[in-house]
Amino acid sequence: MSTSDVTHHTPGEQHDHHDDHGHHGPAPGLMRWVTTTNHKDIGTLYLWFSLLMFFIGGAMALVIRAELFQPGIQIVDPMFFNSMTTLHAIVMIFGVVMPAFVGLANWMIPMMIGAPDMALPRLNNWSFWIMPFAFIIMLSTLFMDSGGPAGGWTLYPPLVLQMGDSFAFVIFAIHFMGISSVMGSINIVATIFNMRAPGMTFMQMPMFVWTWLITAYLLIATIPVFAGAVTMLLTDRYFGTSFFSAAGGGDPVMFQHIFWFFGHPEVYILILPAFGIVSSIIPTFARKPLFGYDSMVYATASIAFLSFIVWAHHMFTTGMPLAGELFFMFSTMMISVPTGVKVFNWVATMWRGSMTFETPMLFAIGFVIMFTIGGLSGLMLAITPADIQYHDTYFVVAHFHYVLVPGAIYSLMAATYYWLPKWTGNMYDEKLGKMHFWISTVFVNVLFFPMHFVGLAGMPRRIPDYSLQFADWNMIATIGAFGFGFSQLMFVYIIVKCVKGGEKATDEVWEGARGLEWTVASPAPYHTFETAPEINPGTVTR
Amino acid sequence: MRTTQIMSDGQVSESNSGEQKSAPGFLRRYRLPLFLAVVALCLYAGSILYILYFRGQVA
Repeated sequence: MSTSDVTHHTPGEQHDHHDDHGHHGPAPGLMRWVTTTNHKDIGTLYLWFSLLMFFIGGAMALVIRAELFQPGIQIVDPMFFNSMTTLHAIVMIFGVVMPAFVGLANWMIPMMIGAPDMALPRLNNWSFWIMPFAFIIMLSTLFMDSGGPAGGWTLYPPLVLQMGDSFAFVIFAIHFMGISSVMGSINIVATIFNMRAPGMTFMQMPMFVWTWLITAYLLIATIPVFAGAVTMLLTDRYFGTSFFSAAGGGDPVMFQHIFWFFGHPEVYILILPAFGIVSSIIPTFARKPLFGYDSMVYATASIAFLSFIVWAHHMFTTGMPLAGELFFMFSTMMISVPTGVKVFNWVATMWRGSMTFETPMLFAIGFVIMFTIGGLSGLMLAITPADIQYHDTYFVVAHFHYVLVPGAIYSLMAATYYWLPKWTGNMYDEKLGKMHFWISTVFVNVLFFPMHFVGLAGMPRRIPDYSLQFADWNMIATIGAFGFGFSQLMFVYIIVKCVKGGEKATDEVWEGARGLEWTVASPAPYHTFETAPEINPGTVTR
Repeated sequence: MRTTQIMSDGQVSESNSGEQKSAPGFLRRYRLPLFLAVVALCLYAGSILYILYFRGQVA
């Protein structure tokens, strides 16, 4: 980056300044992690937590795939299988992707906008520490006599109201996950609005900051609605109300409307920060500024707006008026326009760039290609008459796994490799990183692509047994699942190896890196930007 | 040194210019996060009240 544009403090001066404040370092011992209000510590906690949950959720996925290796009930009983599908989804969404993005936001947003910390550091600590307890409560239900939640992550009544005692635990845990998310989001909005370096305009913010700002608004607008819906489930079950019980005059389909009013923006909560990550990485390794920055910002805002008016495309088979079907079909299709703007902008950024293919770039390119595959199957699902055929089949499973695994998860891996040298001060093992990418990419397609075929052939979701004609592709998908799952052990090995040592990273780390985070030392000092950098109109901050 | 309190852009500029002013009150200092928290609570309560009063749960 052309650091000469940042007045008052050159990078070197910044380092000296921070070195002078070594006495402000982390507290010794384990209590550092319990009581910390430092944004980098809390970011690290979020990231390790999400990595742990990634393996817990992944183990559940392997139980599902092991059971589906062959037709017939082979390994687990159907009730436990249903618990696995339910908990796998809740863990991966609320325990892996969301906390990982919050961890990245904690680490990177203050450094990207030249702030010393998050705006509300104590709230930040609280936001994190609520989560492990929420997940312990939820996962403990697996050890209850009545078993874990088994009604699907969508918690549809009346089925979910027939759950055992785990129901109350799950609802309690979901409330706490929601409180954590909302508090984290408020913190992010307050940080971006109030803590930007003097002179930094909104249109000088990196795309990762923009995407998180919009994501935070989505979270604040949708999580409380979801919490309201699950509170009503709780009162239906334990306090004799009939919000969603047809027998008492309630409306079960109403729950679906409320759930998906949260659930569809949630999809974008899971992918908008990924867009921000990819928009940071591709320009670095193409050695060009991001093509169409302004249009990227407006496309992100458009996607966020549209995400509120498409929810009923998850419910075409519930029966709705033709006008409703048409509205939700066309509004859903409209999302492909701003999403297409983004994909074309990433391609245009790469066009005639001096591209190199380090591991973060490989994962970013993998993201662009495979997320687009998931987007295209999403367009197919948006077509109402076609969706009535695809609904609740493995085609849907293939679609959302393509946008979430080689989509959101790949962006997280790209971000980890991209910023790991800045976090640890050491370069990761590039050769192993590239191996991790290629092995993961082969197996993730072996895992998820056959699901399109069995889905189109009519195999339903959420079943432990299936007809013989689906056997071959299921066997292949299971081989892909175990290959992908075990290849993630490489990811952990590479991270641990990098944390422990390795070739020292420079401050800039990557030749084409741009932005304030690359002006601080590697590893990033415990406190950065205690004195705010001043940003001029021409400063390269993104 | 720049403090971590919540400040508007204008306040940040003033603070950095070295001009000392009395600390804003709690409500003013935290007006943005408090506003967002109130919005979240209203959405939570609103989703329940909507079904109670507009979807026929309370006759």
